[in-house]
Amino acid sequence: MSIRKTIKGEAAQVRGIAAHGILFFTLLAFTACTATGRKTHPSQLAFPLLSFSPPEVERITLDCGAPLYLLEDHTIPLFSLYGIARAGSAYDPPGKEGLASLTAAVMRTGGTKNMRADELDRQIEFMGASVSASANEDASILTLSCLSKDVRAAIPLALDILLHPAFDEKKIELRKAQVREAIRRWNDEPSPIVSREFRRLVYGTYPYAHPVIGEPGSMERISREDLLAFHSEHLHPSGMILGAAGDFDRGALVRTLNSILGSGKAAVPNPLPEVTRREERSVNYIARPTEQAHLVIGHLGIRRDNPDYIPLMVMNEVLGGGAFSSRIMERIRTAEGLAYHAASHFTSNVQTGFFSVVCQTKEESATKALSQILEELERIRKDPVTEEELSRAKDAYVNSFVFHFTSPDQSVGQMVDIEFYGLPRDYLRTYIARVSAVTRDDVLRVARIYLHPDKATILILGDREKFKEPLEKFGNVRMVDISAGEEMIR
Amino acid sequence: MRIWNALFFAALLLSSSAESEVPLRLDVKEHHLPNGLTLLMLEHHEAPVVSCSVFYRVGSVDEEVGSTGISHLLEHMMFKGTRLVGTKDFSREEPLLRKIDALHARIREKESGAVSGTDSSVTMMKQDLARVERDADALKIENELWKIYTQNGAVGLNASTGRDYTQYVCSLPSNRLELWMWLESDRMQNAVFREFYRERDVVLEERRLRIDDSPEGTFDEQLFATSFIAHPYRWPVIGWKSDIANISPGMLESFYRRSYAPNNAIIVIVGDIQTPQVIGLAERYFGPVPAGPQLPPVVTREPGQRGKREAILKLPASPKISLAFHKPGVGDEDDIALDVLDNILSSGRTSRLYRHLVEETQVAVSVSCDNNTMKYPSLFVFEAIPRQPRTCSDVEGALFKEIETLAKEPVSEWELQKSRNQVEANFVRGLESTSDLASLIGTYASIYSWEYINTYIPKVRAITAPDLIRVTKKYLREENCTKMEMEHAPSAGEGHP
Repeated sequence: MSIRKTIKGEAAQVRGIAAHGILFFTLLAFTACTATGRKTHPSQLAFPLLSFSPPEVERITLDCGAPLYLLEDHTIPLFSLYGIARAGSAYDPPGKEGLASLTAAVMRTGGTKNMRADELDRQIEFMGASVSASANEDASILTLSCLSKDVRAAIPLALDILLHPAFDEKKIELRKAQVREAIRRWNDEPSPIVSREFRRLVYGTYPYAHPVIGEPGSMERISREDLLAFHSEHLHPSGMILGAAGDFDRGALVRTLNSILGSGKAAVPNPLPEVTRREERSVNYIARPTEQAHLVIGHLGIRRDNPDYIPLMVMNEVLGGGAFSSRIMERIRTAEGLAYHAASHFTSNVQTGFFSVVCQTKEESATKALSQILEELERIRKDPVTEEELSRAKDAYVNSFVFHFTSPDQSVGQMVDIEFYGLPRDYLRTYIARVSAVTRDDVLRVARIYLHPDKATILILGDREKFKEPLEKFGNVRMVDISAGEEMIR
Repeated sequence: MRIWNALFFAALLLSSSAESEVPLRLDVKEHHLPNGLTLLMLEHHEAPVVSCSVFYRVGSVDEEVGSTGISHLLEHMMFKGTRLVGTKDFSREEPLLRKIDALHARIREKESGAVSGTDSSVTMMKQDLARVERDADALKIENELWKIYTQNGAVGLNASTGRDYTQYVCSLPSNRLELWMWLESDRMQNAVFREFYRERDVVLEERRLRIDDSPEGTFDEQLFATSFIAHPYRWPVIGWKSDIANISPGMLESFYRRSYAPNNAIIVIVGDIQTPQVIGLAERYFGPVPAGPQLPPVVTREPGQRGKREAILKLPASPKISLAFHKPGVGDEDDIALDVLDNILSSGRTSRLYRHLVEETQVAVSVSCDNNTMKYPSLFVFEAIPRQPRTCSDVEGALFKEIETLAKEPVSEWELQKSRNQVEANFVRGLESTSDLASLIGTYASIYSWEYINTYIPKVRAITAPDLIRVTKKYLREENCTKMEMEHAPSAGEGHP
């Protein structure tokens, strides 16, 4: 994090990969009653009908075989290009954790066969443009953002970075040093510790377990040849999905992309193995003399393309995903004043993601908060949610649908992500109907299938001396040692 | 921090080139109601959405020692509903809320020893309190404001408190603008501080999370506290822990009545709107809200610093160094030159600090600077992480060397032009998002004037190399500097003092 932070104006644009879908047509209006004078409650207000047709994003196939999503819109003189490849940290070879991330980073910073790194940065930054490359668990992502007047100059630079990176040895060393420093510091703040260690506990040996940036010692085992090999295997344009949005000329853009990317055949991305871990209840403790205990409770979740995704999101909205509208927040924060933040979440991944509830509370209330969270997980599996909770959650999704189309960039990016995760291309067209169809029984059914408090992995960072109850109450306690990264150098 | 980011972005937003087709300015429409409310509107028809904000010109800078953090606590309490929202029957709830406050006050008195009494009387009062709280809870509708908003499709619903202002933000489908007018005009005048004591505990948890257990947060808090000895920027926005615990509902009520009047508020509406309709709705909903007293300006001026200040923070975290220099507030011509300096020093990989400290001498693993954009004179801050085995003092030496060069040698025309181009490109980028635009307009309107946005690019263009030499010499002087270092100390098992 801190490494990137200092590079201002660069890479500001990492896109949140396809969280929820989108919809169509018209949004509901409540019954009208012309307002003369103020109503005594907002539920009496009537709203005009909102008619809205989402912009049509076009999909074509480039000569190289890659799909390209396009939306031309001349309102703002801005252009963006987005490319995603199945080349995330899940493909890091064992012992070389961090390879995907290092490859993406140095692809961007290490110059190209046609231009030295420094000259490339000078040209890009002088335009006020930004080209960034980064990796997450599933993907490597390349983005370009520039003024439309600079499209002709900027596209060849961005694609040169993708196609002909030089992986300059000095830039590799620089990046490795930054990663080593980040690892050496990764125990400085409590929140990143628990998110990192929870992932390890849930995934075990599966490659989603390790941090995207790498592990202590892994940088030493990665050579320039590894970067070249990873790049040629995983970052070929034929295996990517591309998107272009904003103020550009369609014909000229397609010609440019075809002439630079050449021709070929769509490449099938390397499959990842299934996540097959068998889970059982465990209590994992990190001793740290903080004022606040950090709790994470959860287990394996779903793949992004799971057909139950939408009912599950509705269930999670009621449980803990809907901030102040959700049960966990209402109980832990509003009713008890135990925490500032308390929420539940399902991650979206190509392979099985995970479910977690996260909360921080003073040491004295740690075990109380933990019990309450476990109770809420049981409760939503036991009884149907109320009609009111259901309609509130569904309305929130339906009424906010228009926010999926606030910029051309966003409209295109989400289509790219929909294809990346293997969702049906009419995902957005059917979204509202599918949200609207969710019933209380559906919510109960998915809660029972996908929530397993009895098999939950519990992780607690804090000072157990100050806890009101013994942790053993929740299961067998194992100590988690997090000293590896620090010892590396200190 | 947030203000500055928005600003920088804005800043980056504003320059223009000959080929550019959009005017590099915002066509904001301004309207004032008789009660003093300012209404700022910008039409933006990309999607049927509208971003709405209320900015109150009040923040931690307007607080007093003993109740620091009150503006932030008030921001939290503004989500607790009103006489109309969040209650099943306010006429029955109100007396119970008064009783709760009275019991809390008496228990506090007894427990502090101010009034003599036995432990058993405290125990009885606590039992009493629990009963009344239960009765009051039965009459409230939990988080109703939030639920109404999200059920109607609100996104980005939030609020934030800064040193200079407090903002309430949300975006809605554009047909729901009237809902926003209803709810916000209601909580501008009818807020009810139900569940006060629990929410005060929540804020204490927030403080533990953001500051007490966070070396980063503690570092920032201490940097401001050390750099300022007189001006109220010296305390943290969230407040000192003991002060937060000291705030009572009565104090909050009077702070609310004093600060949240329409004449101290700015409404910003950006999106798929027609200006006359917005004015009509605002007149209907906000027009009847009575004006309040004028808030007094902050009179305290930070005395000139007469020598370098140094502080060391021992925490269980890795080394880090900051150098903070006093500098003027927004609106001062020098502040724009310092923005350009900031850009040349720290924006991107071609920036001076990155090239020299990270790439060439490799003394730091990361380095940045920030010319904080604030209402009153504040700080130009450098921050860096030394690269092992280099130390904080190695980094300090390297930073002062950069400053020395800037004071002597003019920056190149290429560097100046690059920063102008970046300002322009970022301005254009900022035009995509209605919520970013609303935040930008409201921020400047709160701390200075929204028109500043439209004069910014021409002013950046007018900055010359000699201007940068002048401001470097004037502000980035050693005797005007506060240095803070983080030194690693094992956590020792006993927590923080």
